[in-house]
Amino acid sequence: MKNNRGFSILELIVSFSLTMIIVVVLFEIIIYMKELYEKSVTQTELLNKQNLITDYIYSDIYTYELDTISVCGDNCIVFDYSMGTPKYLKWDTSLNTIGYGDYTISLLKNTYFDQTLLLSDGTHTLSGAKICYTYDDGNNPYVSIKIPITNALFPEDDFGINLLYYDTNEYATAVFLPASNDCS
Amino acid sequence: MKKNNEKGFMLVEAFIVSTIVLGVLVFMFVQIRTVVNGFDKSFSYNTVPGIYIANELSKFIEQNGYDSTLLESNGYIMNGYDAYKNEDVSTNEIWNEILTHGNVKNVIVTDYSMSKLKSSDALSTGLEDYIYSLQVDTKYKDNRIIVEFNDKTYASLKLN
Repeated sequence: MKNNRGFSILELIVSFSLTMIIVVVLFEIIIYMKELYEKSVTQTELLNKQNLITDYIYSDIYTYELDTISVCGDNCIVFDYSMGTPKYLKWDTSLNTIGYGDYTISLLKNTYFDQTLLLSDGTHTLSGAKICYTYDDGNNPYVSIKIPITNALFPEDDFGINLLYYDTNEYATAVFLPASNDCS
Repeated sequence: MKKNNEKGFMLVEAFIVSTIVLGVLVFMFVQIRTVVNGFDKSFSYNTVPGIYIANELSKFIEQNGYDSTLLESNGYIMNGYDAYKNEDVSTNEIWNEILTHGNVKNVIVTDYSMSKLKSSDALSTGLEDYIYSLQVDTKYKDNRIIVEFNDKTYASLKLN
């Protein structure tokens, strides 16, 4: 008597092929979603740190009248406020930290300052910073302070400080900073 | 003797299974694309540095003034085009410094409704999507500044 139970070899091959196609596609999706998740977590954390420091600096600038901006040491810029205490923007390219006032953050793994940028006022060095400033016809200063920070996962994006300040107040801010060569 | 071979699949069965599997894969692909697009947009709209740069630009515009008659007739003003009261802003040093150091691609001053701006042909796809995502302020009807950056991020503020 013939036994008709079981699967034929053709059925097995076809079902196995279909299953493999679906499994491979699902694996690709899972790997893609996992990478996307990891990137999003890193990007969120980088943006949060950038946003916090940026917010902190601008909040002080808009709240307390900015008197002077000057160099306070290697990799240190001081913001002197006429209605508040001076606040220091400091960054350490070897320890990979950046801070403003009493708020300091450590950069994430594989996150770096741009050490090709170098400025000096003759006494102190500002490594990793690009500074540009000019004055309008009314002698109001416009200042741009950039401290680019990049992450290996996002090489085209800048997660650092990009401070632009156009002073339109009655008493103009005095700027005592070295300017980068490529400001124009 | 008639031999009836019952091995294998019918063509109809194969079609039905393939259709179902393909349908599920297409559905999943569309859903994932929607999630990824939403994720990208959330990181590029109204970034904190972008908002502050837009604020500096709005300070400049408010300080130097803009042609409100032109804004009323056109509905919006793009940067550089006969835009401002006393001078062509494209020659203003401070304006150009802010655009350069802020990595700004496009600055638009628009009325509160943005209706004429939305029908403009001069907008990139990303900028158009951003403009459509903005809420129209029917209560205060303030004019608005919209900034497009070279890194495909966007920011917008109301002008005083």
